[in-house]
Amino acid sequence: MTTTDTIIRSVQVPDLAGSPAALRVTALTKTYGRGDAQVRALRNVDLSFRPASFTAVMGPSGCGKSTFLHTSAGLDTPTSGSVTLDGIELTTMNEVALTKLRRQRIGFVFQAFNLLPALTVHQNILLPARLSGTRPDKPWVREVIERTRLTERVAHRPAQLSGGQQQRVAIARALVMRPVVLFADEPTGALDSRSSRDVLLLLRDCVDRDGLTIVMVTHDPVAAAHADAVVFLADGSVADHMQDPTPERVADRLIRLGE
Amino acid sequence: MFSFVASTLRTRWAAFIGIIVAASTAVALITACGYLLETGVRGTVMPERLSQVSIVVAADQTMSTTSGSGEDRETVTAEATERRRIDAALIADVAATPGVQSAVPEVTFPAHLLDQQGRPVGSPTGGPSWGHRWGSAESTTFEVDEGRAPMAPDEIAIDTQLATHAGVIVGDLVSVTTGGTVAQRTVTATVRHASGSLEHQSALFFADSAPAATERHPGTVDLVVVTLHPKADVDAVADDLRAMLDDDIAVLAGDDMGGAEFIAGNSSLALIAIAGSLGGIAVVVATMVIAGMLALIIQQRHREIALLRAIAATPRQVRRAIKLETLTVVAIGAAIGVLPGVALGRVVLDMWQDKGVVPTMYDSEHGVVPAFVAVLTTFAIGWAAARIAGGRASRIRPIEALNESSVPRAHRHRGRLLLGAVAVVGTMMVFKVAMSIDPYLATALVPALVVLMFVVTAVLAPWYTVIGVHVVSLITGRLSTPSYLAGVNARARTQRVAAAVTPIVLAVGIAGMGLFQQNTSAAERSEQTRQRVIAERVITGGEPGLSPDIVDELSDAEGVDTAVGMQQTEVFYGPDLDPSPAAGLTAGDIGDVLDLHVRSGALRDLTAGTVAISENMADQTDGRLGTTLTFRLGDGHEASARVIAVYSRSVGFADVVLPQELVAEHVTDVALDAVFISGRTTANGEQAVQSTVARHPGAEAGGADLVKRDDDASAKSQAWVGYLLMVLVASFAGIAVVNSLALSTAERVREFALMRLGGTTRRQILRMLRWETLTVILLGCTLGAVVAVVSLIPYSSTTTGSPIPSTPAVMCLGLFGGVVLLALVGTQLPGRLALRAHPVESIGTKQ
Repeated sequence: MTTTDTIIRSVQVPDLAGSPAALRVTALTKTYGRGDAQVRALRNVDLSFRPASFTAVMGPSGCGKSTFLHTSAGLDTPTSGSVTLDGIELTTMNEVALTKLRRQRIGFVFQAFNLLPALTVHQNILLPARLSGTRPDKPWVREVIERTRLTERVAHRPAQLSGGQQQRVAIARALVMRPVVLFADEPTGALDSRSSRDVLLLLRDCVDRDGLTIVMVTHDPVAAAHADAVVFLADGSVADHMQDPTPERVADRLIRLGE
Repeated sequence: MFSFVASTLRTRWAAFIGIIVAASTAVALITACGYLLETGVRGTVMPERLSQVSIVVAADQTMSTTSGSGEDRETVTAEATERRRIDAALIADVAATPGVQSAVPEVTFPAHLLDQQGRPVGSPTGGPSWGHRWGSAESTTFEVDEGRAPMAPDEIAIDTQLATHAGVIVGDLVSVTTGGTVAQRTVTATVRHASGSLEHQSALFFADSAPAATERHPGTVDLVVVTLHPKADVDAVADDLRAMLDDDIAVLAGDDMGGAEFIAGNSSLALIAIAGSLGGIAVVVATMVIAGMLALIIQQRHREIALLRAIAATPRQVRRAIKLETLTVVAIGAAIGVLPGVALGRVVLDMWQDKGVVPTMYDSEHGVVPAFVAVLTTFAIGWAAARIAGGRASRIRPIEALNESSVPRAHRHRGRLLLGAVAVVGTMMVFKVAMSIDPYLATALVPALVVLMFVVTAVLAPWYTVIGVHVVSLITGRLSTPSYLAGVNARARTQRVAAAVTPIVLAVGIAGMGLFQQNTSAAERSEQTRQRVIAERVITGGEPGLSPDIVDELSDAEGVDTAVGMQQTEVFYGPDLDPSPAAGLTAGDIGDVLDLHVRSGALRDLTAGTVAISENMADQTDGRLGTTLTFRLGDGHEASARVIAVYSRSVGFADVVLPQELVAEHVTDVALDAVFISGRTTANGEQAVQSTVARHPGAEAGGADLVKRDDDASAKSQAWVGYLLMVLVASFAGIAVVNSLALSTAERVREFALMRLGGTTRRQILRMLRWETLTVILLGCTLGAVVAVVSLIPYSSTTTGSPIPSTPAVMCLGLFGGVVLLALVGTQLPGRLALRAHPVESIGTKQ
């Protein structure tokens, strides 16, 4: 288990080393609390993600993977370091600018409570578009709804949907604005294996067909196997990375991570 | 944005019910106050008897005084409360004016028909019963219905409605009383007014040849009724008359004539003041209540708002959404509340007119202005509340959407503490100002103190709740498991307790203030009256009053040592022509019958040109023994008198005591209101008293408590003014209490499910809820009581001399009981609902 602070690990595939990163974090640090109660959730993490990649971020509880996701996505501000998304520096932006960036360039899927219960599926999907004042691309919206297989459900409210269907709505919402990066925080954590597969195949499809960059936090090796690469975090730092993961290799590495 | 708001409202409408109710109540209350305010502002008294007359010439009832010079020159006006009269010599001049066909004088004096038992028959309209001379009947458009005009001195005509009501027909011999004397008259005619019916008065017409004993002011008349030639132009003739007559004579036409027919005095100002202040309180309370409800809703939608912030909405957009939601809901509430508000205003006005608080003849036709203003104001309230609540909502950080639990952020931050400190300092300053000697200031500042103290409690809630909760749970925590759990919950979630306590403080504070204030002043008044009247016997005159002659008669009677007659009126003093109650007392050993607690001087020196004043009046006018007081009598007549005594027992009596002879010259009704008698109650003395009573219909004889009884009755009807609307405002705060408790109980579904899965029974949970509610009630009532009492300390000090206001146990218990009822409704019902589902299902419920 490595404890050196500055580890520059790039998950760029060598032959695409020249293309700009969709997301790059540099010396990312996040500390909570003061004095004795201080918790260093992230310590000088350096990572970059190339466009059209699907990366899983894994690690034991408390390793900082959720914190990493939140700071990278502009939901939380890091204590120090920088986050660059499509060339835009997030750490210097104010809340209003961050919000605008979030709704136009970033997609989120949370583990639960993704949707506004008062709105229909259709309204939920179009919410970021509506609030940013941009007119949604109708053909694209139709395609997104078809690909997420929600055509029958557009007029329903979240309470009438299953967990898997709700996640698909969240993904559809995230896709509609054609984001640069889609962040998923344990998207299959609350789903049964069939719905999980559905969601993961959908995500995979977005990367392959639309060139989306996905950063997914998960603890499930099967889910991680759908990704191109896996980054392992432990105690707030990058511990390892793996290309072309399989469930067995990932599970094995996870176990050894705890030693 | 709007479709988002619409969807939210559609699905979450239950949470907004509280705001709808609050908004509709606000609109109703403010409309009612506006209705009363408009009545006062318009102050239009429509002519009735004179309604068909072209022009009326009367004395100008407005008095004015100009003070200062140059740029500071200020003219203040006031309405005389007693009727002014005009010189009868003017009639000829008026009649000679071109265009005038006839100029007929009219006199008006109280006159009552008596029934078989000798009691005065009240007017069936509820208004006064007035007598006139037959000479003016035709000009004021009365026509003979049955019979013939009264000619002989002992004949009269009465209006048909009164006749029917009293069961009198043409030819009957009846008793009538005027100015305290009774006479027999034959009814020769019943008359009907040209307008069809009289709604505000009854009329009796005496023959022109009848003795003039009813008129005390020879050579003067009340008004001149002018009839014009058919082709004459009303405005032209009126202008001519104005040019010819002095400025202190008013030439009136149209609706203005109402002011000559009915002397309403300045009661419109009182109406404006009351309606205005109650409306103001309603607005402030409504804002706080709605803001509190919004804050609660936002707290419950906390995760949803965080999600919204995370994926799509800027802080500004969140604020806008909340504003839109609030205004939409307020609009619905406002629409519901408008009509009830108009009805409420009407009901209150009728009730106050019934109780004699407002003169009956005030015009109650109203436009849509009060309702319109109320709706606008309520929108403004909603907007302000949304701003307050929205600000907090927009500060919810997006990351809070990801938290599993919905632990709210710390509310004990420094900014709030600072605001609380500022509010405390402000309260103390206002308190200090209110403690100054001026009783009017103390009264006016009571609502301000309540509001300020409430702000203090609302802002500092997070801090004292912690202390309060610990104290209460220390006492109650050990009693049983549910009470222990309640204590734990309260200590852990002080924010929730604080949110529930605050509306209770508001409700108890305002209701307490209203009730105790009324009670304190009524108690003081009652006490002072009891101490003041030391006469052995008292004769009160009732509506007809007592003849002034009987004072001498009674004084001469055997066994009677002193008899003093009293006539109540008003005087106006100072550069602003402020009104003050005054009493005219006949000469005699006043000190034997009335103990005014004289501080300097002696009442026996009360003669022509002298006056006795209260300590309050002395303060107001910088007067003391020996100084000269300049003032105006009730009809505006200027006078000055030397102060020969200063007394302190003035509440419920008068601030100025004058010789009755002076007062008699300047009042509408010359009859005495009461006579006080002291002396050994021998058989002869008693006989004199009884015969006086017999001769005066409506009179009553009794001990000193008779005065107290009458006074208490009139004080009670005055109190209705305050009680009614104060109850309404407090019940408004009660809505907030139920709402906050209901919502916060309803959101604990998961918590209860968890407890049940852990082994707690449904019964235990309900009992725990009762203990929690008890904690909230105790805290809220204690603080509310403190707010109410402290806000009344200045008022009580200046009114009664004691800083402790009167808080009768019955009222306190009633208030406490009301709160308990509201709180139980707000927690037990939602509690049972929350416990209905099976815990395993409930635990999975998302917020």
